[in-house]
Amino acid sequence: MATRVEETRPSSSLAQEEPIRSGESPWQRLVRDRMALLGLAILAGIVLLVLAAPWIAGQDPVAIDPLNKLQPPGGEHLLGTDNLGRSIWARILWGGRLTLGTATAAMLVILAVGLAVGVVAGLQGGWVDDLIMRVVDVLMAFPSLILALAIAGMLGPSLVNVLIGIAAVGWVTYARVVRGMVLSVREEAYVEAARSVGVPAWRLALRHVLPNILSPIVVLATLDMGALLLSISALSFLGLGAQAPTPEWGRMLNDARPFMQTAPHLMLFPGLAIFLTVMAFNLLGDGLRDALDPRTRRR
Amino acid sequence: MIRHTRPLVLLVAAVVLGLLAACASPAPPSAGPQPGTGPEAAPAVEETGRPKAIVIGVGNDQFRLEGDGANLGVYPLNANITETLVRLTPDYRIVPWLAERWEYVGDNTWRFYLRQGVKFHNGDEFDAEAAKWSLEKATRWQPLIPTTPDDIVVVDKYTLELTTSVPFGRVIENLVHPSYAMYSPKGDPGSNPIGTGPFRLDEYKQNEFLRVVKNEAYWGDAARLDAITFRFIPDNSARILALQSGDVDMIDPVPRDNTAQVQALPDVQLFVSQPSAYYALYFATHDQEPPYDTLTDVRLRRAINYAIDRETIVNGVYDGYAVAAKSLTPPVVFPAINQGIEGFRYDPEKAQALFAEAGWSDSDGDGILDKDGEPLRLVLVSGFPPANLIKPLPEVIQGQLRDMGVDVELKEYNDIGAYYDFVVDDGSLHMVIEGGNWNTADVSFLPYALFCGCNPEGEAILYKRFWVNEEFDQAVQEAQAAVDEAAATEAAVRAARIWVDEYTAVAPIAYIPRLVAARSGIEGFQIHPSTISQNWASLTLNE
Amino acid sequence: MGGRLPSPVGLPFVGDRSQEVAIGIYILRRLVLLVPILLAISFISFSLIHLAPGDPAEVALRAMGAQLTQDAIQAMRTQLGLDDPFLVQYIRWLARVLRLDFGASVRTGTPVAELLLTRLPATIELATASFLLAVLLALPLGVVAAVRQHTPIDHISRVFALGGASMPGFWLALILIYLFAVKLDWLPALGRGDGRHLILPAVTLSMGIAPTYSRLLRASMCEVLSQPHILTARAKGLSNQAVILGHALRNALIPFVTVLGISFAHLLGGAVVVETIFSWPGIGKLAVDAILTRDFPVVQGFVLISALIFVVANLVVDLSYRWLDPRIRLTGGG
Repeated sequence: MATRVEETRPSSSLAQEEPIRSGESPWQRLVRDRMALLGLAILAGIVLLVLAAPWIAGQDPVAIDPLNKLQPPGGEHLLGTDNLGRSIWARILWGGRLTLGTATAAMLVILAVGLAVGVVAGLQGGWVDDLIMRVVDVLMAFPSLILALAIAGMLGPSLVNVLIGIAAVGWVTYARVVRGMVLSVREEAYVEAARSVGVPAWRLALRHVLPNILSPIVVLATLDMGALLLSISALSFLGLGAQAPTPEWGRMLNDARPFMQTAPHLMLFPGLAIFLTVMAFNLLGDGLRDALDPRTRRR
Repeated sequence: MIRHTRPLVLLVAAVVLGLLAACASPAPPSAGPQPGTGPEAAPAVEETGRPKAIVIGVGNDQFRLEGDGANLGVYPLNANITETLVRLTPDYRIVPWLAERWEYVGDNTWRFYLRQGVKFHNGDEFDAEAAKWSLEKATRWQPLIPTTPDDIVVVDKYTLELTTSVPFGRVIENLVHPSYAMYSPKGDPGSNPIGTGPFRLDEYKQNEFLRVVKNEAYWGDAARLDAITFRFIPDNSARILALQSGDVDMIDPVPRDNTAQVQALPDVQLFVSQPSAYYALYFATHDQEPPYDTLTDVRLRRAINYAIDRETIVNGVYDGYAVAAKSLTPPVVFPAINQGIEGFRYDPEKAQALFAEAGWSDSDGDGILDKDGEPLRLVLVSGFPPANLIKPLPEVIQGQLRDMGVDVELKEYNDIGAYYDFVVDDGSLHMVIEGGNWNTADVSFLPYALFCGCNPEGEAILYKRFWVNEEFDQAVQEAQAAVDEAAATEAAVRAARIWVDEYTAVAPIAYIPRLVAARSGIEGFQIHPSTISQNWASLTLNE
Repeated sequence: MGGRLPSPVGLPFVGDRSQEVAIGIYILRRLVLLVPILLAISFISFSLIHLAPGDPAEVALRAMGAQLTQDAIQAMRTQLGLDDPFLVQYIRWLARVLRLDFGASVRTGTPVAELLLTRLPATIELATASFLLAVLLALPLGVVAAVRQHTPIDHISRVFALGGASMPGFWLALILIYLFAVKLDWLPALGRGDGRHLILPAVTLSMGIAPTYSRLLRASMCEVLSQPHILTARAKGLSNQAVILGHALRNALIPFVTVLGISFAHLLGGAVVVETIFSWPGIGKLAVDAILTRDFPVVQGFVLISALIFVVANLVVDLSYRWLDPRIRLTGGG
């Protein structure tokens, strides 16, 4: 079928290309990558802010005050109020917890399923491998957002169902990648030796396979977090995710639409939050990839 | 080299072909006697000068196109293609229309003397046969008047008799409803409705637009416009943008929580009707399994009534374009009802006292009342009207009740069918929030249709869980059956008193007007509180 | 062969019948392999509807406005075949689908096939315009960035790539509407009509894929440009620059084609959001409306059609890629 995405994805790293110093560890390379550090800093800042929400939000994000609706930023509320008088600052912070939390949870599920399936397929081989790859092929035949949309739509609007929908389509890429890596690792001499001695497959997986595939997976996952965030907020934007009155960045954007004319700040801040967070993940992910695989930096 | 460029050229060619194909695709199937060339195209009129046509942005396309319930161009959007026997004025009086006069001749029978000389759009004359055909169609579907096709009798060419199956005094009041529209039997109400109205159907594209043109042979005051295109724009913000950009000349309805913004637009005029609709909470008090039986305690129902800050809703949410509600009947519809009951006003102290009296207090300091270790958690369902149309009211109610210590979980449905599936069959809820329209002058209509156990076999839509009591049923039945209007009104007031004051089956929130916005230049619009009785013929354009 | 630049990918063999037969067999094999995939897609589309809570019989009765008595429900269940085993229901459904009968919308009664077909041209128009726009934007940007590495324009292209990939499409749409429709009133904010209506939606949708294209093109061009024979050719003389670049571009485009299939998925998925915001009457908006009103037959039909389009598009792209790249042809493909 089509070539794997990750192979054709070139580096968009904004880092200046620098000569490779031999004997340098990936961490050292990463630390010298200014753009990646920027991404890390932004991400850390956002995460800290949303974690500190209970202390710095200053308002209950769901407390309404209709007589004070659509207040501009500055003044009593840092980022203004929405159409029901709720503090946008508070809703951005608490919404961030929800959005980021759901994205993280989805990624964990995807990784768990993808890793497990990929390892099983790679190690077992035979008809198990064939069957699993057929399933992967079929799932890849659907445009992922559309299938996630359909699943979440059928199950009913809720953030949990969005998570299920996204995870149900997201694991396939990882399964494929992991399987490929497992296949190549399997050929290594020490693995063959271990198998011939009778080491059980699961222990092989744990001790020999997983540590080797960890770094590429981390890169993939970091870059993918941005995409997951976009998908989750897109589905919430369409009305399938968080329900009233729960704040969530995608949903806040949709709620802002009727008030574009008189209160554009309603749509500015949630969108900015999503944009910055996704960008931070992308910067960090690019940096990680460049640090872990110096060859790509030549491009 | 050629080998390498060819694929690229082919790729581009394929893409260009695709684009051409998409642009040149034939128009989708649509209905109408003379297909036009699109929503903005001029109608095929033979007069000189520019035809006067406007575009009105409306909500969802909800026309039924099949079967006895087919109502293209008639309901819920009444494009004045068809007319009824009697008409409702904006101040809720009934005037003769296609029926010149009528009388009750006893034995549950009503006789109508039809207007003569009225022609359908196809030239045929409107007579009792056509009236009978139309009434039968309505009777087979979801009739407001209990009768059977055999009980609709043609007496002579212009005289019709209708006998109800049970004593039913509200026949005339219900005949204003478009479901009793007068059709020509030769047309098809689902694709080619032929009526007697000041406009006739020109073109229809489902979910896109409905276009009507002036009926030159209309029996009454001719329409002042040559054509009207009703464009379906379900999305509230899109509808506002369309008005602003000039894509449409009018919008109906104006999104309620955005009225101030619309009014502030330059060159836009806002039309506000007398309120004829309401928003209210209905409480589930029968057949509920724990934990959904919390509201069987009347003190809680009263407390909720006291906990709703109606004035803030009116001013904060609806920018003043609403009225705090006392009952489910706005004053213009039946003034006697509000005059005859007490109603509830916002009183947080009374609310707190009632919660406490019922045994609820915030013992763990989390802001939510609790009792025996269980928090006061209520499920509120919104679906009629569809959730996206009633926003943000359910959230506001949720917020206000939360301020009083009630944790409200909100379930929203954008589809009425799914909403009823849940509310009627599943029932894992405590209360619903609904909007109701008084579209006819039948004072018994809403209680009968929604709540009355007197509705045979419990056919009232919300009967099972939201039933009131025997006394209520008795009063509603009397209000419906009494031919004498005074007796009917008295019974209706009695029912309302039980509904609101005594049993407290509901929590009225606000009366809401109909809101329409138009750009300057649109004149002659007489807004009717009830959408289905809106007359578009008086509209004109002055540029 | 004299006077021509030696191509790194090898010269195409002209008139080699065995190659063409091999290609033909390959195409046939791919088409045959498509069948189980299509079956599996249809099975998943069919099963989706069973995720939804609620009884389809009651839903159907309610849509008809009929009474919900126990007898009526049971009769409807029998009529819809709901009491039959899952596999039987699936086969019955598949038979209807193959006759292009996708059922009818629960809300309006219109056949789903008709709904999809009438709205498909709008989506194709949007997707095509977006694709062209993306290519028009990304091509010059990526090429120039590769040729003039580390110059300001290169940095711009990288910022564009990063920003574009991080930008939520629905946010961009709202910003564009605000600027161009609300504030400046230059362009219409919604609906489909003349070319002006197409601009904002197409720009929004193209921004979902243009950054990836420009990145890929730049990387690909860099790789081709850094190959020894190109370097020597460039070093040798300035007069042939355009020819050399053109040649390099043609080769750089080859890996580009492989991304087309995936970006098609982005287009289809992104179209759903863009169509909803701009009230563009395509199948994406149809699907979202159907999901929000729980009109499941429409959703089912939409999922099926999308997957079909996607699979076919990927197949076409895959085949043309193999046709384009004689390397693969020479090795027999597969």
